[in-house]
Formats: sequence, structure tokens, C-alpha cells
Amino acid sequence: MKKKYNLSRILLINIPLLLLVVITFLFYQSVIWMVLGAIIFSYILKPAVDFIEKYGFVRWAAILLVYLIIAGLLTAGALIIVPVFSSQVQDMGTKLTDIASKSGSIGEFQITDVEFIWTIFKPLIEFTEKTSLFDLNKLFQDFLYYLQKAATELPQKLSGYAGKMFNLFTFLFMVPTLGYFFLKDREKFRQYIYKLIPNKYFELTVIIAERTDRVLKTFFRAMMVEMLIVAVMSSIAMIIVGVPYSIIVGLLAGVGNVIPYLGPLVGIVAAIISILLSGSPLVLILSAIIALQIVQFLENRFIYPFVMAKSMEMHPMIILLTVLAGGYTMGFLGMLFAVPLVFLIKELVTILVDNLQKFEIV
Amino acid sequence: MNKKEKVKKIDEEIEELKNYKLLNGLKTKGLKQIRNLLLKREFKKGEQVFRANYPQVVLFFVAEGDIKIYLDNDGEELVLTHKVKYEHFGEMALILESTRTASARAEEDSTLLAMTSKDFEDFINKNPSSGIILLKNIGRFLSEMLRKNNEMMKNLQNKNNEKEV
Repeated sequence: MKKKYNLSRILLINIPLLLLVVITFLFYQSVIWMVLGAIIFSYILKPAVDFIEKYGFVRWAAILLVYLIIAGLLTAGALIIVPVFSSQVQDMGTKLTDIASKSGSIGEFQITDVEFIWTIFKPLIEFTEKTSLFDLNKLFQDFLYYLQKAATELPQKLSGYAGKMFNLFTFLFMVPTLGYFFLKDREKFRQYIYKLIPNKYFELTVIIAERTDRVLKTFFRAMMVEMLIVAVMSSIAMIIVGVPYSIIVGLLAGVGNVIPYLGPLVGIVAAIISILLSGSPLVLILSAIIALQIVQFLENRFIYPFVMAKSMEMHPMIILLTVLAGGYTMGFLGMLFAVPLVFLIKELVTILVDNLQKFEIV
Repeated sequence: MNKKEKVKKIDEEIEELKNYKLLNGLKTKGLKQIRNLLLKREFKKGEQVFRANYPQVVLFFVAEGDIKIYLDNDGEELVLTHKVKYEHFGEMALILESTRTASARAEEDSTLLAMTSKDFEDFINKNPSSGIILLKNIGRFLSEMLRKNNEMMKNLQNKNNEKEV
């Protein structure tokens, strides 16, 4: 009897509460990404702000100083890189349309129209044509078609959907603004959140929060630093070797490098595509692969151990499987975030298993 | 007006922190940062703060109330001390990543201010000069406790000897 009373009481309190949570979530869902972006943003910048604060700056001044430095770096970087980058992108675009226009429209395009491909893959193409095992020509044609479609639709999409552009700008504007508050009032937010935690779970929550914080911090900072270093090194390597569109390839290699195991392939594939598109001598492919491997070696040997000081201690096979599973379920973002996410969950489960008994909660 | 009151309230809270024995000698600037790090916890009368052998991660300052520190001796409580306003307990958590050596329970409704060991470390790294004072204070408290324990041991042995005689 008493139990039933308790149950109805629990329902009476909890259902409206749950409803409130759901409504709150629905109401705020459009800005959740901004908040997440701002949290990531503040995570990455916190050490810089702390560093400046140490030299006697007030916190808000330290944050503004960091913002100014970043704005300065971005402007300088844009002034140097954008002209080169945009000319490379333009060039790549014309090459693609050239290939397409050769055969009238992209639909009628034959893979054998591109001379160097014909000479290299002649035996393979003949083989596939004979056996009709799979249609290589169609495969490549589809690939080019989608590439072309994406390239031609991109500007249209950008200018056509003014609303989306507006969203992007609000996002880009809001992230640093919210980030400012997260950086400045971090302690205040923390004190509010801890007020909601019952005394019984207080110290356990402290342990979980600190461990989560450490994992996220290591991951985000390591990711940014690695991306930057590998992008710069790969770009330089591509320039030295003489691969066309060196900076695009370098940037792709840098971004791709964040994915464990499969990442380095992104740079290599980008380099091969750029060499094939530009019609450069095919020997370049070999030297580009060697150059990217040297970058990889330097990265693995000298940068990774320093950057990922407390790296994810997981078996290589598990990491590989995690990356693949992330890719299948959530695409590129999944590949990027699967490993730290799984590592974090593993850590949390370990902490809970370790501590729930110690705190006599179970 | 509103903002002025807010600033005044913060200043008062910082002045209040100067009364804590462990924060003795810290400058206003350091106290301002410590105020941001402290997490306020309200405990009801009879509520357990922690038990012996729980993992230790925070130090508690007593802002209000009365906390009993005791050892569980086969179901019998051996009271070590009471911590009242402006005192602190659990300072070992800041130094040692281990478990609690005694239990703590609120004897009346109490307000505690918690400081985590990580915040403590960050604070020391950020403010080395304040950090030295803080560490010295902690060292002094632990040494005094050791001296007290040594004297207690001596008294116990004397009592035992008297019994034997």
C-alpha cells in the first residue's frame, strides 16, 4: 500500500519534471550546437588565457587579448594564404570543367578521353571491358559527375540560401561571444551546476568531472596542434616535391591526419587526385607518397608523443574498429570523434565501477 | 545600485575568507580567486559528510555549523575532534591521492565550502607566492597534528607503564 503511494507520488513529481526537461530541450535545441561549439572553443583557448592571466592581467582583458591575437593571426594568414589558395581552387575548377567540356557534357564523358589515364590504365580498362566484371568507366564517370555537380551547385547554394548564410554568420559570431562567457565565468557556471548535485554524490561528481575535463582537454588541444603542424609540414613537403595544388593537399592531409590509422590516406589520395587532374608526370605520385610518409614518420616519432602526452591508452585493433564503426554510423565526424568518445565512456565506466562501491552508493 | 551591492557582497565574502585559519596571510587577490573556486555545500543535522576509506578529493572549510570528526571503532564512535566555524578538515586530500582516514558528520545544520585538489593545484601554479603561503599553512597544521599525536602516544605509554607498576 505504502509502495503504491510512493510510486504515484514519484510519477506525480517526475512526469511534469520530465516534460519540462523535454520542452526546455525542444525550445533550446537550435542553439545547442552554438553552446557545444562555444564550449569546445573555450576549451581550446583556456590555456592561452590562463597563461596571459598569470602575468597579472584581469581575466576579461586576458580573454580579449587572446581574441585580438587570434584575429591578427587569422588576418595575416588570410593575407598570405588566401590568394594562393583561391587561385589553386579556381585552377582545379577549370581543369574539371575542361575535362567535362572535352566531351560536350559530363554525361557523355569517357574515361579514355583523358590521355594519360588511357596510357596508364589501358590494360586494366580493356580487361574490365572484356570481362564486364565492373564498369570502371562508369565508376569514374559517376565520381566526376558528383564532383562537378557539387562544384557547380556550391556557389548557387551559398547565395541562394541567404537564411543559411545568416545562420552560419550567427554561429560564427555567437561561438566567440558565448566562448567569452564560458572563459570568463567558468567558475560561476561550475558553482551553479554543483549546487544541483546531492551531497552523497558530490565527491564522485568531482572525480568524474575532473577526469572528463582531462580527457577532453588532452584530445581537443592535441587535435588542433596536430592538425596545424601536419597541414603546414605536408604543404611544405608538397611544395618541395612540386605537387600541384600543394596547399589544398596539405590542408586535407592535416585535417585527415586527425583520424587514427586511416587519416594519412586522405593526404595521399588528395595528392594523387591533384596530380592526375593537373596532368603532371605520374612519377610525382611516388615522390608525393614518399614525402607524405616522411611527414608521417616525423609526426609519429616527434610530435605525437609530445602532443598526446597522456594519449588514449587503447589497443590498436580496438581503435581501428572504433574508427570504422564511427565512420559507418556518423560519417566523417564519426571517424573524428569516435575514438575520444569511446575512450571517454570507457574512462567514465571505469571510474564508476571503481568509485560507486568505495563511496558506498551501491 | 544593484551592481554596487553585488560588488559589496563579494568584498564582504572575501573579507570573511580572511578569518579562516588555513587562509591566514593570503592577500586579497589570492582570496578573490579562492572564492571563485569554493563550492558551497549545505549539510543537514546528522548528515554524513564522508566516511573513512572514501576516496578523498576535496578539502572542506566550515562556514557555519559543527562537524564531528570520528573513527569507527567496531561500531563504537571514537570522537577525535569537532570542527567549527572558520576551521577546516580533510586537508590531506589536497596532498595525498588516497582515502579518508576518519569519518565526518554534521552535528547541526552546517554550511561547508569545498575545494577540490585539482583547483588547489591550479591555484598554486597560477599564484606561486600565494601558493607557498597556503602550502606552508597546510604543512603547519599537519605538523601540529603530528606533534599532538606524538604527545598522545607518550601519554598512553605513561598510562600503560603506571598500570604495570
